[in-house]
Amino acid sequence: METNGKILKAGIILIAVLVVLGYLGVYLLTIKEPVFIKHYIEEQIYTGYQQGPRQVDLQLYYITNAGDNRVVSRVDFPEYPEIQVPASEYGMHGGFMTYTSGPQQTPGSVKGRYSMRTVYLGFSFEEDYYEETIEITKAVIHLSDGSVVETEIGSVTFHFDEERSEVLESRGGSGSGALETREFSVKEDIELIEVFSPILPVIQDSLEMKINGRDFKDIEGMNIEAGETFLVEANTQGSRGSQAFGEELRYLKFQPKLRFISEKGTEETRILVSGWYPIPNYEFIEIFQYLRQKGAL
Amino acid sequence: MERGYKKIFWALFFVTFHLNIGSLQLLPPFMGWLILLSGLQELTSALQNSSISTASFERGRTSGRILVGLTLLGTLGSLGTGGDWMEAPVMTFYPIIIIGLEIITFFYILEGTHEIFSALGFNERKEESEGKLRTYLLMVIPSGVLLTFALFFNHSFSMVIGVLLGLIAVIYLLVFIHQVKKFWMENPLENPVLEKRETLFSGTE
Repeated sequence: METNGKILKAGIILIAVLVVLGYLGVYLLTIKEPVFIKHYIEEQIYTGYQQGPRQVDLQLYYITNAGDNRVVSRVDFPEYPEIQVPASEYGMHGGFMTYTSGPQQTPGSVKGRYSMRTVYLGFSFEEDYYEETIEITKAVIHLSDGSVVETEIGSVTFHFDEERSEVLESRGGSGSGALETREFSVKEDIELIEVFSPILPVIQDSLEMKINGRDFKDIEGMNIEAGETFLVEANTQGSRGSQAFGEELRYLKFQPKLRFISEKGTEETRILVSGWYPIPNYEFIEIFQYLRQKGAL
Repeated sequence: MERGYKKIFWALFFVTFHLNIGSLQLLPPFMGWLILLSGLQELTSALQNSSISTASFERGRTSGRILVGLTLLGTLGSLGTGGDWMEAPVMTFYPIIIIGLEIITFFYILEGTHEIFSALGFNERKEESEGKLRTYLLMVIPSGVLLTFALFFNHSFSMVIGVLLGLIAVIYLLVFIHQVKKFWMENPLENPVLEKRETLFSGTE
């Protein structure tokens, strides 16, 4: 019986130590409020092809404690207080109309002490906005318990153009993962000005793109004659891979555009490729490192 | 004795396997622990006029009382907040604290059982109870460790293994308590004053 007593003593001490360390860990690793990752998103909206408001669905991502049962119920944008956006963590289509017999399960992907959560937003732009470019950098997040968090979300830009340039015609392309090749035919003589994107400063170190073999940063003054084609080869993931932005967890969605002067002397633009980085599927330790780096712990 | 072990058996059964009607729990855990206290009371009463020590059962009752208090708090808290408070950081390891106290309580119950068999000279039973207790501890302690890890990291795999191991340990314990109950049913203590085991339990071994 003496041996059993020793086993009990050792076992209870071990469990007690783990529980004490566990509580210490819970205290140290709990974040005070949700941490939104930085989003760098550009959305091109063409307004000339159909009537009615333009719908754009977007997702914002944030990290919260795994035991946080609150969900985002509303999102406001202090820079554009007039923009009212339905927000839900249960998806935009059907999430509001689901009925369950029991309590609805808290959404999110739990990673250790944290949960990666997604907020679905449904933007709807009326004609009033068609003349401007909207850039959202801040959001006021309303949570289901009534608490409010004001946070920087990165840069979400909406461009409005009536219609895409018809001077360039896409002749198709191919894509494999982050590598994309697209060919355009030119209907009239053009002179290239630049490739631009509002988030170019963020992506330029990672984006590799060539137009007829020339680096996209070095195309100014390049002439392409009517009837010719040009080839765009892009590696939207760049040479540094998906973890290229490792210093900070980011969500990127970009559509770099070519700006050029047409034969008529007008300046026109055309989207060349689309790039999209889902947020990396971080594990607990990586999320912890990210939060520590951000000073959230 | 038989009634005491019977109550302990059902107490352990009810605190482990929750019987629900819809979302309503028929027997909240604190009721189970109250049944256990009643069972321990029966055992100490049955032995009170004997020379057999009831100290282990008394210790078991002390940890049992703490379990009643903690599980009663848990039940009231859950009723008051609709279960939300179990998500509070301070409640993270509440189940582990309960498991720890449960291990201590059953250790003392099995130690007390071992002492009775020892005092009455049932050497085979005495050794059996010692071995059973060891096996129980060697299953339930790793289960507690795994569950602590699982609760901290929200680790599903550790949770499943920890729960399974804990469940096996409890079933193992239930079977043993049932055997002890059966033993006392077949060999009732007619006279609580146990001076000469041979006279009272002739031919029972």
